[in-house]
Amino acid sequence: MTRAASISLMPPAGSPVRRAVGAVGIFLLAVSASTGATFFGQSPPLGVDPRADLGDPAGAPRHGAELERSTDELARQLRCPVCQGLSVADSPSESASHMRAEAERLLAEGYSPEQVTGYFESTYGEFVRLAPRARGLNLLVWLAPAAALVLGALLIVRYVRRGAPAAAPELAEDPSEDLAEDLAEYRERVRNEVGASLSSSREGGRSGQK
Amino acid sequence: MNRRAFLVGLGVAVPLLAVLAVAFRYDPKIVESPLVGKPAPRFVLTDTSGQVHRLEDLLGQPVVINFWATYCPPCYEEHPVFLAAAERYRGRAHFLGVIYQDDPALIARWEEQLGAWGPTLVDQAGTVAIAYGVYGPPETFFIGRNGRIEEKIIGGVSERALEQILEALL
Repeated sequence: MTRAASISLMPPAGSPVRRAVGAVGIFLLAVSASTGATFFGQSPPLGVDPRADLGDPAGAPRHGAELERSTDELARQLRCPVCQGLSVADSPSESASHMRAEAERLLAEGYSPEQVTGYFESTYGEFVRLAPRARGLNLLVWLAPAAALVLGALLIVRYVRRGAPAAAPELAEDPSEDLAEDLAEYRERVRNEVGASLSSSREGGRSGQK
Repeated sequence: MNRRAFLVGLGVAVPLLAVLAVAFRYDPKIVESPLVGKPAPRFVLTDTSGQVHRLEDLLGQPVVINFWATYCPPCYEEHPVFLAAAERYRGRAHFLGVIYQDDPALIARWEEQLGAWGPTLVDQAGTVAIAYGVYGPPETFFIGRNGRIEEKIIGGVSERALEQILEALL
């Protein structure tokens, strides 16, 4: 009796095909598991604590005059979001008062001014700082005026050291002599013409009286 | 021509023109939000009818949060856009309005005359506006299913923009 040959659909163990099939299988299992977990399991909660990035307060809680002074100083460094170039300290807007109140709350808890500024910056962006940080392209704001001042000073020093400009070329000793000669010709012509016209008008007058 | 004067002039004019060419591409009124791409700040607010709303309860669907006020002209213009969108996307997205420093009596009159497209939340202490970095109304935040702020629009929202963003989040 012969034993019927068994037909196996599985590729031989260790073969590349079998390894590839195994990898695909694991991948599909992982996908279905994660999909199932997402569908049936708990999704991560929506939203984060707005103060999550603050961390722990860097210092001790503040009270009274110290708290007021710290709040004032910090409010002068923060930009009012609804005003044109005003600090939170100077702005009468409701937004500014809310920001000041929030800053005061955080400072009272012991957060440092840098931490509080960092918190506002994380929501509003760097624009909330009235004075930009001296880094990157912002360095232009800090260095350009100083550079312009130095350049201007150098130009002035260079101009002064170069000395007075060269004297203008001298004129003729007595220009009136040359001028007198030039004008003599024209004076003679004027005398002749005026004299001629006076003579002709006298003769015309005499003939009219006859 | 004085060659030195020409070169100095060129040295001043070319960088200046380059700076202007770059700078004029940007609208000075728009400030990029650092929150786009980050998880949305959580909040608990009460609406004008006294009902409490928590952001974390709105799981699994996109959330549109619009900071607005009755004294804001673009808010008038975008109001019909939100009315229509809230109806069109009912059941598929959440629409929340957050009042930005306004009088509750005026809000009530506004909603009576123009209608309400969703809960009108009152941010009394301004803490939510601070958490979202709101510079002034109207500002609209689009939160994806994953809880991240995917987009922020400063100024009035057009129907087209709202539709484009929401369709991408759905």
